[in-house]
Amino acid sequence: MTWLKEKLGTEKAIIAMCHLKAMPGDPGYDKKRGMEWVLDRAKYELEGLQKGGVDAVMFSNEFSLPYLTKVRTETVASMACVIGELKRELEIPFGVNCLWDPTASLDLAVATGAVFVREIFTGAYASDFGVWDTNCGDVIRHKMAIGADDVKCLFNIVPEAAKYLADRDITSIAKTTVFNNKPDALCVSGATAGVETDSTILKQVKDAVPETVVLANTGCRINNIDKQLSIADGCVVGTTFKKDGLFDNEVDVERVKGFMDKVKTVRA
Amino acid sequence: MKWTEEIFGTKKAIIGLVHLQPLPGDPGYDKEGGVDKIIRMAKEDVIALQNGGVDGMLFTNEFSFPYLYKVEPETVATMAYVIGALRDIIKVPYGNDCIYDSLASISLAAATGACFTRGIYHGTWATSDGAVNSQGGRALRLKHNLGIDDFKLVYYFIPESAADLGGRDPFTVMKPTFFLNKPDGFAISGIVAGQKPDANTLKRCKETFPEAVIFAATGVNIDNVEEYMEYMDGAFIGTSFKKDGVFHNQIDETRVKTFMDKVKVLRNR
Repeated sequence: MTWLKEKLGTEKAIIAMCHLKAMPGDPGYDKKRGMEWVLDRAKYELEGLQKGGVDAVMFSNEFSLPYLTKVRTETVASMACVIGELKRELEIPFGVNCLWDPTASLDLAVATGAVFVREIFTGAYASDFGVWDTNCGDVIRHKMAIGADDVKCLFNIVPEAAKYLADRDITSIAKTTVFNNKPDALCVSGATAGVETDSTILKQVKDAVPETVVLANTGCRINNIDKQLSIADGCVVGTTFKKDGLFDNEVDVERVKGFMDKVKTVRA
Repeated sequence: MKWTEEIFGTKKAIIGLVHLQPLPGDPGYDKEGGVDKIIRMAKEDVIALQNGGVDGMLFTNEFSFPYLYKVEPETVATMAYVIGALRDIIKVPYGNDCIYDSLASISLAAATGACFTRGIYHGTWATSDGAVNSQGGRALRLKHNLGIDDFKLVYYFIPESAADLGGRDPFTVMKPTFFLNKPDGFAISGIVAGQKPDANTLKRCKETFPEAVIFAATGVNIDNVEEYMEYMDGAFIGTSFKKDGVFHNQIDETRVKTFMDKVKVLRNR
C-alpha cells in the first residue's frame, strides 16, 4: 500500500489541478475584477472538480505567467487567502504548488494545511527562463523549521520547458533523487502542461524506483489514462478537465465525470 | 470628509486589534494546536469585537516574537489564510499589519482586501531590534503595482521601541514627508503595546498638520480615552479590550461594550 491510499483515499489516485487566475502583481492580473473574481472562478472550478469525482485537488498559480523561481509574497498570500475562503467548500484532500518555488509551496502548505506540495526540488536545468538551479537541502531544512514535517513532497524530476544541464539519463536521476532525498513521490512530465507524459520514460522511472510513488504529471486524457495508470501510481490532471481540453478554459464537469468513470473501470 | 469617516462611518473610529497567536515558523508556534487553533482563537476575538461594537478591526501577527523587519513568507501566507477563513463572519472594515514589515503588509492586503495598515514608511530609526531604514518609496510603488491604490498607509509618527537615528525632532522629520509622500495618517504610540501615547504629541500633531488623520495607537483605555478624543480621528485598541486588560489574554466582549458605550457618549458631546 502506498501513502496515496492513506492520504488521498485510493491507490491510482487522480489529483486534479485547480488553476488560479492571475493574482495581484502578476502581469495578467485583472485589477478591475480584482481578487473577488479570482476567488469566484476558483470556487467554480473546485465545484466542478469535486462534482466530477476527483480524488484530490492541487491549487496552483498556473496563470502567474511568466513564472518565477522565487515567487513573491503577495502571490503566496493571495493563494492562501483564496484557499482560506474555499476551505469551507473543500470535501477532498488538497495540495498546493507555487510555481516554481518549492520553499514558497511549503510555506503555503503549512499555512493552509495542505497534504502535499509538488515542485522542482532537485537538479540543474537549462530552461526557457534561464539557468534553473535548486537547493533541496535548504528547502527540506526550511520545511522542518516551519513545522511542515508531515507535508508530502512530490518531486517533479522532469520540469516542463527545461532540460537537465548535464547528460544524465532519467533512470540515474530517479535513483539518485530517491537515494539522496527520500521524496514522497516522483512526478514525470511532458514538455508543458497538457503534453502527454512519455510512457516509456514513465516506465523507466517506475522500474528504477519501484518502492517510490510515481505520478504521470501532464497530458493524461481519457484515451491514454488506462495506459498511464497501468504504469504510474497516480496522475496529476489539469488540461483535459477543461472545456474542449484547452489550457486557458475552465473546468467542464462533464469531462471530469467521463474521465473519472473511465478511471474507475481501470481501477477495477 | 476624512477617509476614516468614509470607511468607518464615524469621526472617531475605534479599531479593535485582532492579535493572532504565534504562526508557523514563529518560535512560540503551537504545532500541536496548529493553524486551526489560531483560526479558532481569532474567530472568538473577531466575534467579541464585533458584538462589542467596534468600528473596524486590524489583524496583526502580534505574537510573532521576536519581531522581524523582513517577515517570513510563511507568516504572511498564514495570516492570509486565517483572514480568508474568517471573511464570512467579518462585518466591519478591516486592516492588516505584518509587524514590522511594512511591505509585507501591502502584499497581504492585495490578497485579503484589507483597506488600511500601519507601519514604518518614513524616517531612519534606532530600534530595539536594530537600525530600521524605511522604504516609503517602494511601499507606494508596490501598492500601485498590486492594484490597491486606495489602500491606506498609516505612518508611525515615531515607531514603537524606537527613536530617530540622528536624534532629529519627529515633527521636523515629518514635515517634508507629509508634504511629499502624503501619508494617509499618523499612528501616535507609546513605547510598546499597552503604553499610552503622550496626549501632547497628538495635540501638537493636530496643530501642525491640521488636515492629517491621527490615530492614538497604543495604551488607550476607558479611563484615558477622553483625553485623546479631541485630537484623534481614530484609535487602535488592543490590550484594554482583553480579559482583565492583560496583553496575552483574549478579547473580553463586555470590556469592549463598556468602552464603546463610553466612546459613544463622548462622540455625542
